[in-house]
Amino acid sequence: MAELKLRLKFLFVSLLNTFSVPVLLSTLFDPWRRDEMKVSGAPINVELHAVWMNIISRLIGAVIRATTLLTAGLLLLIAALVGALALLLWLGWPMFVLICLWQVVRHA
Amino acid sequence: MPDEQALRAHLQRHLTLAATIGRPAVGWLCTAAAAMGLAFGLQGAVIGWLLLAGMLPLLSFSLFARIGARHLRGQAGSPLTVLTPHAAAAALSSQSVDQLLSKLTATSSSGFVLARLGLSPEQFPEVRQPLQLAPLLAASAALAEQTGDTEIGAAHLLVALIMSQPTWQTALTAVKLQSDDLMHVLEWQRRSERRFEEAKLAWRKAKVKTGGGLGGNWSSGATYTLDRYAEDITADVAEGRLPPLFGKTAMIASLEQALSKSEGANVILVGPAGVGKEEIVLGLAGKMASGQTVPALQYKRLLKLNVSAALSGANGQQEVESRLVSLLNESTRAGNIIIFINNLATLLGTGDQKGALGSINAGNLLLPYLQAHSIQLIGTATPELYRQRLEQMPELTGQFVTVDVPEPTAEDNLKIVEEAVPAMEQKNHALVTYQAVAAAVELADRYIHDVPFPEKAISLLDQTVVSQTALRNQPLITRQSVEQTVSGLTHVPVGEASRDEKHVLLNLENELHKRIIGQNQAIEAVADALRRARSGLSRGSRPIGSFLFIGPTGVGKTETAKALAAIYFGDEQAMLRFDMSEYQEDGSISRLIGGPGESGLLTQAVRTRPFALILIDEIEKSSPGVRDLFLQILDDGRLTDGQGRTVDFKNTLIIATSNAGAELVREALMKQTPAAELKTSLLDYLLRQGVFKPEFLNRFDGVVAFLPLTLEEVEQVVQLMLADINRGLTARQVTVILSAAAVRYIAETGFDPTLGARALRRRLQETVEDILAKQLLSGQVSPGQTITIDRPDLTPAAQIGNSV
Repeated sequence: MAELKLRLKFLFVSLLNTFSVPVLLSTLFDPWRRDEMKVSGAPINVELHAVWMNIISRLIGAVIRATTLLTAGLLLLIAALVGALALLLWLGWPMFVLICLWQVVRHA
Repeated sequence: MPDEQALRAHLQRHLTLAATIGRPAVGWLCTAAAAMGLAFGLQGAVIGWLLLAGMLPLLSFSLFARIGARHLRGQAGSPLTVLTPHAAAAALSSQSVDQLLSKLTATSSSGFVLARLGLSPEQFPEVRQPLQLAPLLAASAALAEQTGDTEIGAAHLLVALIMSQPTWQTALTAVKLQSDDLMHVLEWQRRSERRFEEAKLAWRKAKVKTGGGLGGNWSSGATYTLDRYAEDITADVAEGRLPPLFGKTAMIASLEQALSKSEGANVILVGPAGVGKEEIVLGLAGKMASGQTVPALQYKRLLKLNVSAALSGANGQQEVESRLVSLLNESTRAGNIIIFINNLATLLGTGDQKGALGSINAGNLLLPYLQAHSIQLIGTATPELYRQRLEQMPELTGQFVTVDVPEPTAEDNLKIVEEAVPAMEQKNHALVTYQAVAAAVELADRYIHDVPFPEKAISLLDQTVVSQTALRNQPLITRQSVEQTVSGLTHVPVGEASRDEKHVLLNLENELHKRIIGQNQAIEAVADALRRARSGLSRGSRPIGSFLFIGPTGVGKTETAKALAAIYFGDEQAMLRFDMSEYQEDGSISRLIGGPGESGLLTQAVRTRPFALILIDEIEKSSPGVRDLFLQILDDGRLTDGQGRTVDFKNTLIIATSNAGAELVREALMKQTPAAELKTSLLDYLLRQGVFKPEFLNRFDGVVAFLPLTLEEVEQVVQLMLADINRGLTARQVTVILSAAAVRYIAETGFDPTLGARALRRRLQETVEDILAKQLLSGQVSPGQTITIDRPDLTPAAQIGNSV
């Protein structure tokens, strides 16, 4: 059982990292591709423009990362459901075959 | 020790279990067939049978395996861990030792062991004794423990079986194999199989992805220019297989540690070219790609910068600088880049020496970025370039953590070459034996000095495989194959002496006497040294032999050296001659060993031709400093040249000659002093006069006195010289014969005790060759004729007759 838990943990970590979930979460509001304007000692309108552009860059980053995170979550959920269903089918398959066999014998 | 019957019963249970476990795929197929059978309305009996077969694996083979393993391990006193199905089947179905051997050779893992050893089952003498499983399994379990396995495989059984039979051990010794070799091949087999098995296991911790996924780069800047001029080795490694990294784990760990410092340190890997510096970087890239590295390096990219591509087409210093700066700026902006520059030291210039970028010193461009910790860099350098370039720029060196990359150990070399073997085999359709691999490592160490390990051993083996398969159509690569390649490369007979060679070695004195007249003692001493060297009794790292030939000029000292070069090294050109009259001052040492940026005559000659006879002519004329240099060679068999490289003299034969004391010899001849007495008084004289110090003379394997020739010996020299003349006349089909009287006349009139045999050659030129030239030009002699010269004074009429 301990090994099964370990394997499930490896599976979970791998899936999370396939979508870079930890790094996307920790940099959710960072500027998109570190694209930010740095001005110092410039006129106030240039400074304000830089602040505005940087906010946009961060927003773009946040939207793309959040979308990716949501997609990842959805895919993980689907994978978990499909996995559980496949497991149930795999376990129940012999019973299904036995029922079929019983039906064959009964009607023979 | 458990009871034999009980053991077999356990094995049988284990085998049944394994057979059941090993059939899940068959079971599933049967289940599917049963379902299809139902759909097509087949009869119940058939379906029922199929269903039963399909049901078995559903009872969880994993559970079965575990219960079985515990049960077997739990047997009191049982040596068993668990046997693989193949091993268990072979052991259980064999009643005799021979039977087991034959069954084991049919399995792939034991077949691997035998093939790598170049053996076939027929080479093992017949052993009809009954098989005792208990001791065999105990020995196999011990082997499995040594190879780090939890199961006894067929290969463990085979090696334990061979080791358990004394007659087979003897058979192995006959083909020069020892139990260590068996053990080594077993480990090789286990490593290969383990890697193959690991590739199939998806859920190992090492395979858990912890980095490099979708969106991993979104928090770092874009790198359009870098992507053009640099290779993303993290991405490359993630797609392909990593090279084997034996013995490099510690260095990769130091690299990780240095790079993960909070201030973002940089690393320079220092080691000889070809030692595997780039492989270490690839190893780190592999860890980064799989997310198995330290947290600070996860989500970073390792880019190998191609400097020449980045700067191609750049005009002028300004453009080159601006391109480099833009690459560094982009790396700074990206924030997740580690730049790898191979041979970084070549880009740096110091003082008068320019780097690969001409007048631009890359160090000055890099320094501000490194000081600001805005980029991370891994560079490589050879120890020579590190000393010459980096150490001259302490500010730059201070920014780097230096990691020394030494040559791999002998054990690691063997493993690295073994890893390279499958690719060679696949490419050339050959089978490389373990003996060939071991020979490649051993002979590369001994005979190849310009290239470091493991490159030289891999390259030697690769060359052997190619030449044997392509040129000789020989797919089995053995030790002899590698020896042939080395012999071809070095012109030195390598390996066990062949029958012809043995004959030459045993009759070396006679071979030398074909060219040298007299000097029996000298020739005997030299021949003994060569026999010692070829039979493997030479002493460690010292040269093959070292002799000081003393005696007057023209008595055969140089001729002996030439003859030795021709006989032992196969070519007179293998004699490297240094006239010490050109090295009379200590300042001339640099001419011999070189200096910064300059090769030495002696060191370069030996690096180029490590198997040579070094003739140091007139050593008494050399400066004391030069003599000290030779003392070191005679003692250690190596020398460090002016560029800090070690030059190996282990495969050289060193002969120093000296004419000092010629006056004494002449006086002794007048007094008709006996030969033995003359040698002693000559040595005394040389020491008394301070020509040589006793410690210098003691360094030689032998001090050999070449004494003046007797009249009879001089006559023999005349005959040898005449044979030379006749060889030159072969094309004209003319032969010259000298009568005994003529030979005596030339010997008496041509031999000068002060000039030795050299004066004879002149006399022969003045007499025989002049007569011959005139007769050839006047047409008196035609092809097929023999000229017999029998007049004592040789002058007017030579008899001309028909050749026989």
